[in-house]
Amino acid sequence: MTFEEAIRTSIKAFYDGKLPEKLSEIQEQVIYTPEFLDEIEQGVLEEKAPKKSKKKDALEEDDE
Amino acid sequence: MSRQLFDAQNPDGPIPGENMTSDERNYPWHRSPDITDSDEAVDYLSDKLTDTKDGFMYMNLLKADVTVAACVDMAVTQGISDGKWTPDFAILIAGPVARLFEIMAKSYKIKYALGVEEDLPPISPEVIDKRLERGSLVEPVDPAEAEALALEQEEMLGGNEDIPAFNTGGLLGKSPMAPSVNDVGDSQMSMDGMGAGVMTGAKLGNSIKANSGELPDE
Repeated sequence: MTFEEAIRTSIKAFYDGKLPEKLSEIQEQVIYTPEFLDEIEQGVLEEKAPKKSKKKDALEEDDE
Repeated sequence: MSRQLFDAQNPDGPIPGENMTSDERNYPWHRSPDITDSDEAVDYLSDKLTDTKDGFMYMNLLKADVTVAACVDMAVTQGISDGKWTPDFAILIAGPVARLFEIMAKSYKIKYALGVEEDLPPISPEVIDKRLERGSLVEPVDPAEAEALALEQEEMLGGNEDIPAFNTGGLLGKSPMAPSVNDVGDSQMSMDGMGAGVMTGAKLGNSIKANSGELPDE
């Protein structure tokens, strides 16, 4: 297995919700879990959306 | 004195075990890694990618149809060469880093491909058409304009008559540019592997002298 293939396998496993088994042995807790990153994604995308609507509102106000 | 490939009297190579005496801290990846905590590594990369030139570059790569997996490969390999983490650790953090790239791409509304499929799909005609559409097409050449340019080029070179034809006899064939005397090939030179068109300076000088009457003809 090449390094590139190992990277792809690791990404695929993470997307399937699997964390490296031995990681918990060397680290007390893992923050960046698939669930945590899902929450971050939601937060980032929601943050972006209202900003745009605010911008639109501001533009509409200027037009008026 | 001819130089031998291996001179047993004067060995000129590294002494066995010499590498053990060299400084092991020459390169960052020879030292202990800076980061051994996966969360710390993801934090480091998220800082490195957010609102930086590197992040901009990776987003442009994603836009150019480079897969997320390839970008992750580049980012973690950069970390290895900087001595931030080991190759094994790079594989461990590939998943979270891929999610970071994905979140960034989504926030910038960039269409991306993850690139983790087991077997890449075969290239279909649709894919080729799509690639061709994206690239700049070659402008069609007007035949009349091309002919006019060819004529102009011929005039600049003084017409076709003085220009020798290109060698069509293959790589080792007789070159029309090479001088030949009486159109006779040199048998010795042919045996030496040189073509009939090759002429040494001495041979050419002799031929000129013979033609001018200084030397008797052979």
